[in-house]
Amino acid sequence: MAFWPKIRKPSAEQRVCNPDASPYAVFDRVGLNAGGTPILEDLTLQLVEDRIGIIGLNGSGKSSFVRLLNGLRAPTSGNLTLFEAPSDKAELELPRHVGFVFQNPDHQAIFPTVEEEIAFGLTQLGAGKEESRSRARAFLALHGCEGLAGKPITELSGGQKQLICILAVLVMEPRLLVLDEPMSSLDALTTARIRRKILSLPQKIVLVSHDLGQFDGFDRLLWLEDGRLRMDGAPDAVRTAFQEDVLTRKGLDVEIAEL
Amino acid sequence: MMSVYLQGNSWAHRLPAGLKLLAIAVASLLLLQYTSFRVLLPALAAVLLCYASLGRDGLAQLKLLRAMSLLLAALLALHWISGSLLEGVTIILRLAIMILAANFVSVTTRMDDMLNAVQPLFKPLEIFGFSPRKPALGVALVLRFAPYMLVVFAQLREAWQARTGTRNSWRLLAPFAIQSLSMSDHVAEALKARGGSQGLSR
Amino acid sequence: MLPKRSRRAAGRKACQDDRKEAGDDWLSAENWAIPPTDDDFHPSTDPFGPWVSGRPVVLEKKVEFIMADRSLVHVAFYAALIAALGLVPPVAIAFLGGVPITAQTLGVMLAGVMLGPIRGALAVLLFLFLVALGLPFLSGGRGGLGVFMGPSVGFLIGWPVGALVAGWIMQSTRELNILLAAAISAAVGGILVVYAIGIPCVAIMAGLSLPKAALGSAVFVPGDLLKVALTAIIVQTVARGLPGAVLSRS
Repeated sequence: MAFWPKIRKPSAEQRVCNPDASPYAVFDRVGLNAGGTPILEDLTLQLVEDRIGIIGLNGSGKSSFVRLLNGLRAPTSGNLTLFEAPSDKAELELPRHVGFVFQNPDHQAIFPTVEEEIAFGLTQLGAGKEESRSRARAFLALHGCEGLAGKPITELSGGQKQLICILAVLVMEPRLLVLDEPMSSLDALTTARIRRKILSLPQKIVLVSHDLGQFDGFDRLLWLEDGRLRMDGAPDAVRTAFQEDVLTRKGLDVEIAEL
Repeated sequence: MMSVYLQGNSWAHRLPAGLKLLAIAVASLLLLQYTSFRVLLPALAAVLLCYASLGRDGLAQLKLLRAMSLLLAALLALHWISGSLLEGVTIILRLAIMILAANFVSVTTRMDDMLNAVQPLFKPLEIFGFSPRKPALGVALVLRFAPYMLVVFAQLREAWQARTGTRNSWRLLAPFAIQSLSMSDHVAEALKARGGSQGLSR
Repeated sequence: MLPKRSRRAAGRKACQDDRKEAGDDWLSAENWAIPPTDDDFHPSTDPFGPWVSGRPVVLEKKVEFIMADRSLVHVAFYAALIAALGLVPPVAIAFLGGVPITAQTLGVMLAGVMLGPIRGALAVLLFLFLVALGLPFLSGGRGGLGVFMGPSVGFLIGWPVGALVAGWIMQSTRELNILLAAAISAAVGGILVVYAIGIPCVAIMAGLSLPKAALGSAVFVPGDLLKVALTAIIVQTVARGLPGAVLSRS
């Protein structure tokens, strides 16, 4: 276990937590502009830990940051190396290595039924139609969801939908799973269940959340602010600093619109 | 799944979809050559017999004709006005036979089988860089979107009702379009995140 | 305490007053456009932006034209919209002669005007493909191969061509006011072209003379004009609330 100083300001030098493992993502002065406005600026860091969390206020660039990891967005400046290849290299086939779970399951599911949704990932990897259907059913059974196989996605509950979306990504056996606020519309019990599921996975995890309690048991927490890395360290330290900063600096009695 | 398909295991269900499609195409072309009752009436009897062979549920499928009856009656009226009533009757009879026969194929063929049967027809488009996977993917997406749109519309109507006290309004259409459109952008992103429509096995 | 009826009336009046006070402004697209769910991700504001990936944007745009996933999803979206509009029960308006008006052709016009020629036509074709596969998506719950044998098949054939023409006009009148451009596109593509193909087909399939067939079809024109107006208003509203979504002009 690496030692993390209590508050650690991001600096230009690259950081490696465990020198033995090779990092799956290396950011070298990465920046991202959209329509002239900078969204991310001057990010230099390496991702290597098994469980990494990301926090930040609305508009801090969290969503864009995680989209870089899956190739949904490409950096407009600097170099980004993912799985030891430049991120813009087409042969890398990022979706094969990086599973991405979106905030709203209604916006993620592509197919009308659960079975088709799961099978799609397998056909993406080259499996035939029948084969992928039967493997999808087996995969659902493995995760205790065999009862859902034939159901239309629109008829599932919110938690079931999100679980299916996670399974639909997991069936492709990615090396890294990125989750962008997956629990934001779930109740406490469902959140706890999904969280347990996520933490039990062998994949490396990058989780974005507004709920600071989600990061118990995580190895590292990144705090983004205005497109920059504000703080990077052990979850407890970053959480405490984040809470203190947000509550004192912004103040609670300011109108929302003025923030 | 909603479809005109009728669950069953009759002789017609067991025929391969491609064969049925070919048969209906040939039959329609042949039928277009004739206007005499001597051909049309046996043909009608044959089609009705096909439906009858599916049992009571099969005969219930003839309700399709009722949906079209208004249109057919209007056409007959137009013929009557122009003084060609007999010709009108034969033509409408022929139309009804063709409609029923084609519908019989739809009633006895699963959507998946139908899709697989026509899939090879998209193969030639490959030279234009068109992936033959796309039609099937497009079909799946439509089936996914259609029910979701109804949910979005119901939610908007509730919001509207809560704020105005009135129910439906055509004014809901534009916000409905905006909301569901932004959903389609997200789905496009989700598709890309999982490797896109081309797949990953190149 | 007022009697029940007048209480309800008072409530309704209060509602209407509220609406007047707000100046009906909250009806505008800006107020209805859902706030982005992500903190900073707006795919629709940069339709062909860096989002597509690191390759040169100009080149991508050309490839995007009919092939990319985003286009496929949009095509499927409008096909689903046409299907959903088929579920809207037909309205019979007395002063238009009581002819039932279905909402389905509204979807056809929207597909052409919003998506542009190629994608608009593909959306309608995809919809017709689903109908042919046996889904009861045509208004009145009709579907299957049977509907393509009916006398009105010409109108179904006319739909994708109409969407193509509507999209093409929309695309080539970029300088024009969007409301006007959408109305013209929808009228020419959605009415003129569709009827030009549909009426001869009715004549052939039903053995009627052209004028007779035209007479029979003319009863639907007032309803279609109504849909042209609706199309124009919807397109204008969407253009304000979600500009990137009017793909025929982006």
